[in-house]
Amino acid sequence: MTKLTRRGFLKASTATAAVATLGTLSYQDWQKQAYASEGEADAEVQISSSTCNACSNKCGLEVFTKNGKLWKIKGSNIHPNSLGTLCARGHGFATNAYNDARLTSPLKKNEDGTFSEISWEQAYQEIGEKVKKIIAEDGPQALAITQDPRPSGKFYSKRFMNAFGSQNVYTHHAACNLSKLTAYAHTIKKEPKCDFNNADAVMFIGRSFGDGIKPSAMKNLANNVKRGLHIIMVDPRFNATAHMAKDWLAIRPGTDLALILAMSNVLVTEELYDKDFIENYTTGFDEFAEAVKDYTPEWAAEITTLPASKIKEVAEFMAEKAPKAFIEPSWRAAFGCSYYNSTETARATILFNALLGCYGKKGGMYYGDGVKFGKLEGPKFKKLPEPVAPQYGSDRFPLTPTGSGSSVVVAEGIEKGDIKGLFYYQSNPVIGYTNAEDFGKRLDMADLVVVIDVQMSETAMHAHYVLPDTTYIERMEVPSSTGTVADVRLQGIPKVHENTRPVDQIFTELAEACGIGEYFTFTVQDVIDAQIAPFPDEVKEKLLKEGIAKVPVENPKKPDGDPHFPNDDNKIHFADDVWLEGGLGRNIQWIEPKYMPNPDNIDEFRLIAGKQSIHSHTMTTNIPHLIQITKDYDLDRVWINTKRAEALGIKEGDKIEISSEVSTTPAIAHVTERLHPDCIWTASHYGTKSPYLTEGAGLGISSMDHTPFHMEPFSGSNMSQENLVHVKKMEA
Amino acid sequence: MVWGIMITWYLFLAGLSAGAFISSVYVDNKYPGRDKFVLISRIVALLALAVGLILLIADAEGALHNPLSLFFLLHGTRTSVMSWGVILLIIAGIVQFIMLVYSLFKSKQNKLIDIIAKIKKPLEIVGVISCLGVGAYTGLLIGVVKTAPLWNNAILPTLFLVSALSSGIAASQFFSAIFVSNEAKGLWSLKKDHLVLLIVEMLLLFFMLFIVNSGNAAGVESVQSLVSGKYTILFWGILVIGGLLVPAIIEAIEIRHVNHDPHLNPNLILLFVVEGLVILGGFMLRYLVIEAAVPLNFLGF
Amino acid sequence: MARYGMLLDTGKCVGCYACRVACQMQNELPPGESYIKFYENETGVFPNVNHEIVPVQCQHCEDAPCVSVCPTTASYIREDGIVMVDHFKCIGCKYCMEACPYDAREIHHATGTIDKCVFCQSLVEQGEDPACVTTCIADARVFGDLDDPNSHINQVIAEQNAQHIAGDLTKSNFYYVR
Ligand SMILES: Nc1nc2c(c(=O)[nH]1)N[C@H]1C(S)=C(S)[C@@H](COP(=O)(O)OP(=O)(O)OC[C@H]3O[C@@H](n4cnc5c(=O)[nH]c(N)nc54)[C@H](O)[C@@H]3O)O[C@H]1N2
Ligand SMILES: Nc1nc2c(c(=O)[nH]1)N[C@H]1C(S)=C(S)[C@@H](COP(=O)(O)OP(=O)(O)OC[C@H]3O[C@@H](n4cnc5c(=O)[nH]c(N)nc54)[C@H](O)[C@@H]3O)O[C@H]1N2
Ligand code: SF4
Ligand code: SF4
Ligand code: SF4
Ligand code: SF4
Ligand code: SF4
Ligand SMILES: [Mo]
Repeated sequence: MTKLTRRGFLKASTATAAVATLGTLSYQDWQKQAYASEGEADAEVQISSSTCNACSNKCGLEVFTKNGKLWKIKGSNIHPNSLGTLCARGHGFATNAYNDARLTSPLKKNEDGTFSEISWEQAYQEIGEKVKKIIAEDGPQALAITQDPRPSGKFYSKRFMNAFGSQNVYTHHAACNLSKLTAYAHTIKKEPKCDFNNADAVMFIGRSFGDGIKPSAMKNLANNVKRGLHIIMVDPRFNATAHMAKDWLAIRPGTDLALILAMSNVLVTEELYDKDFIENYTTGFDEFAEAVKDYTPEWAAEITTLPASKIKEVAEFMAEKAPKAFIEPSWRAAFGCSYYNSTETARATILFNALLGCYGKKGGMYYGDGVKFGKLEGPKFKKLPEPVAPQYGSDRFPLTPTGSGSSVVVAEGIEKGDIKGLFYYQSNPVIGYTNAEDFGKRLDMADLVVVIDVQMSETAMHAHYVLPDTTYIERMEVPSSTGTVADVRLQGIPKVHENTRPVDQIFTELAEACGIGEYFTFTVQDVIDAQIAPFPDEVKEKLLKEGIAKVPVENPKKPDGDPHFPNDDNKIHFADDVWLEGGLGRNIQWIEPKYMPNPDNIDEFRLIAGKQSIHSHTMTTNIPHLIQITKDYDLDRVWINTKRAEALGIKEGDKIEISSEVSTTPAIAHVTERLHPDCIWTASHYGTKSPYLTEGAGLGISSMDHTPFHMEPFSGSNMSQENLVHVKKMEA
Repeated sequence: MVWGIMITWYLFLAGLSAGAFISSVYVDNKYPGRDKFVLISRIVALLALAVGLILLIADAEGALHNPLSLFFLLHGTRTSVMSWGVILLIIAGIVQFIMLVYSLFKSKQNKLIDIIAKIKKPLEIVGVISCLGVGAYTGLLIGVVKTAPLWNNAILPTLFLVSALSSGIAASQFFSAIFVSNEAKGLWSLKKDHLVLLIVEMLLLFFMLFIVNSGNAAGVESVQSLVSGKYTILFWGILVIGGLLVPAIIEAIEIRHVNHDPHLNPNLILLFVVEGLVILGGFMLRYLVIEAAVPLNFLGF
Repeated sequence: MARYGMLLDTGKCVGCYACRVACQMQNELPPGESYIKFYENETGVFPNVNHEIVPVQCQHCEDAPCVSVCPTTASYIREDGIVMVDHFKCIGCKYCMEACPYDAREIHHATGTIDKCVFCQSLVEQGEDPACVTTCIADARVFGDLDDPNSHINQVIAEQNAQHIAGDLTKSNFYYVR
């Protein structure tokens, strides 16, 4: 930690000192509450480093404390995701350490559904007994853990499950980008990086850097737009980044596949594709050309509501700018997990980019090596046992990468009696993965649900045991990396609540109680030491002292003309039998979404959702500094297109009722021209249901309120936007 | 805009105080012997001033937390209308206090009263000037706020001054009539001047609204909210008809009758009605001007 | 002596509120008090629409109405152009709030005094950029010395033809690219 004393605002502090001696009525109070910059001239400021835990970007940051209490945080200049900046969530979420809603003791659910505080010893002992019973009766494959990958959480939860012999480790991806991951896995293995700095044209399909934030990416994009980068924004909604775009293609939600197929058709029929690239780096092109033959712009126009001429124009434009042009790989909305056709849509974008020949090229997309950590070997890290069974659900979704798995299929497993004991670490599936009632009901059928969280999440409400983690800023974690930069989350402030415990301690002690303690005979520091062992000494030193360091890597590839696909044959497979295993075609094809609102039914819509800059998923609505912005600017309103609103007699600020086969929810309308008429849109973070999280109570709706419990059959993702809702004005 | 009802009251009471004091000086000189009228007017004036100031300070939250900060008012900037106002209010307050003491103990023989009696004329002059200043100040205070077209125009300070005098005169008559009805009656020349003030006020009000309405969007929005929007009823009903037209008409009729018959016995009920309405109108003017102000929008949308 | 100024490019700004929260942390403000306010404007008819977000904070006027109306000299302009409030002198009369054309001032309820953006003077004195500039995820803000013809901010003002938001109404030291 670096120490420094902050220079105060001298003028005022001498003035206050002079008058203080006179003594006045409420002067003491006044001084106490007065400005730090004037009152505490000699407050001791300390700086340490950490990585933000408010979303999966894990931006590097510096923690400033004042007299031992968190003052502010600042983006790390060297961390690739922050590059000096941080988003609002980062600043706000850091304060969570002091939030009134923090869990401060282990809890056990009583018969009547209420919770009582218990000791850690009791919690461990009872959980341990139940786990042992489940293993004795159904084997370790009846246990599962779901987590949103964070450095220690990912490492400990996986090892915890694996130590039992279970492979049932799942991530949030089923509700995020599992369809996309599945598509990449069988075309070019993994997602490439984008060379925005040299690109001429970029198409975003359901991706907004200004809403679903990665700070450095936003910064870079904004500067490249100033340089002249041409953006084509495909989104049913004019999102927060759309004003930077030259074109806004206001597509009907769920139909992006048709657009990409038609753009492919234009490139193929007009022979605008990169012939060299196709010849050298792809297989199956002829079959693909045949497959897209009928998907003309006119055909797509019907489905997407975009003019055929526009589809043709953008396709030709992309081809003209190729290879300095690409469809950005996107993240969640259009083809991450939302629709029945999401995996196929993702596959189509990958193949369209191949037509452009942009892989490996300057201004295109490329691959490179990242940081390689040392192995965990030696007496402290006992070798894990052989797994007793494959990952639950992997037979049903054979294409899905097992590193993520479908955390939704696990819930189905409870109902079938296959899964008996569930652990959740930093994960809130009840309100995040499908509608709360449905997921909650399933959890209630399990023998054991253990939730490790920092607040009483909706999922915690359905747990038998809730274990209180420290917040990220209060703990040290195992290393992680982004690109060629490694980071170690260092402890920024002392523990705020005595009876909370950091994730590593919780898992280590849980393991002991469950009879697998021999696999956890190390500390976080031991893991760090082992993982950074291969790094040069000065890097190690920097990491341990400053938390973030650039690591020399062998092959930090740059776009040099050669695509260097990470897959085995360095080729993109336009057509592949592997897809047949998962229920898709060898060739790409148009797939209808599961639901399609009929635009003739004036009150019928699809409910779509998106990130809002100030909130993360389901976990920030209780952060006072963030939720106040929602309240100040009515950000919880549900968007509806002006014409449709008029037809339904709905005006700005009116109370509306949204109903679907799953639920009926009230909401407040935001009437706007910035939305496709066939859908209504909500920010995805509201509709908090835990009675313990009061700051955001009563605001907005949850995007999952109207999504039935279902899974995309090709990847197991949650099809978060497959729904049909009816909207009507509520009487005041 | 951020100022609310407390500042409205303050502006109204400060103006009323100024008008009531001036009215007392006027009657004292024009109608010698109406000592009770003068006394009551001065009590009203000083009370209004005191309450107004208390409201001003109550609205200044910082001063409540840290009363010492009030001393900095005396260090005020030369450019701050509020700091001129504070000085004017202090001068007016001191003079009003001395003159009240004089009115109260005039009949008694003592040194202090003798001294006051000697400097009565210059005191009256200082008092009247500072009160005229206070009356104008209540308008200038908000008049320098460039962003609110309803405030930032050449007419508003004069309008507020006229309305201050008018409601002050009304108040001195109203309260005198309660306690010493005979002294409040038959002040025809005061009534004539009052009528002139009401007519001038009406003209100023309409000029001001006309000018503001022919300016930018914020001005138009303000004026529209008064004449045909949110504040229509208060504006037409209470300010224009109740606070200006009706009292002016009644006073005009009364004065015409007096011109025909100089010994006419003034009607006390009518006095209460007229002066009461003028006071109400005076408050309503401040209230509406504060509430209906819309700030300019520089964003271009 | 430097004369500090800031520039904000609304073409880059995505209305993410990072600057608001970073500023609140830097200045230790409660959730409900913010030095930056956000205005938005939607134009056009679906699907030909546009949208602009304009964050507004103290414009650090040279001809500052808040200073000229302040009855206690609590509001003042520093030599480097930063407009400040001395909270000890402030009585909280809110005259400056009425006078500020940009609605840039806030009541700090804990003390009853008035608050506003102070260009992070304590950071700037240490040679750093203000918190809102550092954190901006879209690189939409530039801070610097307007008296230095070679400063980055002066270059951007010239290149992008940046303007004051209200012309020369108050001779502000804040520029917008719109
Ligand atoms: N502020 C914030 N930022 C975040 C996160 C967060 O929680 N909050 N989380 C991070 C994570 S985990 C993720 S996955 C990313 C997600 O980042 P994104 O994928 O960019 O996020 P979304 O906002 O879900 O979706 C982007 C856009 O897709 C649009 N959209 C919806 N349906 C369709 C459709 O059918 N077709 C098309 N073309 N567009 C559609 C929405 O209107 C929205 O504007 O954000 C990351 N960054
Ligand atoms: N309603 C809704 N559902 C969504 C989304 C959405 O925006 N809204 N987004 C979707 C996407 S893109 C994704 S990636 C997933 C994300 O899904 P999740 O990973 O489940 O993310 P959150 O819903 O934010 O829930 C995270 C939980 O972790 C807890 N937590 C926070 N910090 C800590 C900590 O330090 N330790 C521990 N133990 N717990 C902590 C929070 O309190 C919260 O309960 O959700 C998907 N589902
Ligand atoms: S993007 Fe924002 S919330 Fe996510 S890690 Fe970075 S600062 Fe934190
Ligand atoms: S913007 Fe407002 S607060 Fe800032 S200097 Fe100008 S007038 Fe004063
Ligand atoms: S509120 Fe404070 S800073 Fe503002 S004008 Fe009054 S005394 Fe001056
Ligand atoms: S310059 Fe500093 S005080 Fe001003 S808005 Fe930015 S962060 Fe806040
Ligand atoms: S941080 Fe930057 S992009 Fe975000 S709202 Fe502020 S100025 Fe705009
Ligand atoms: Mo996600």
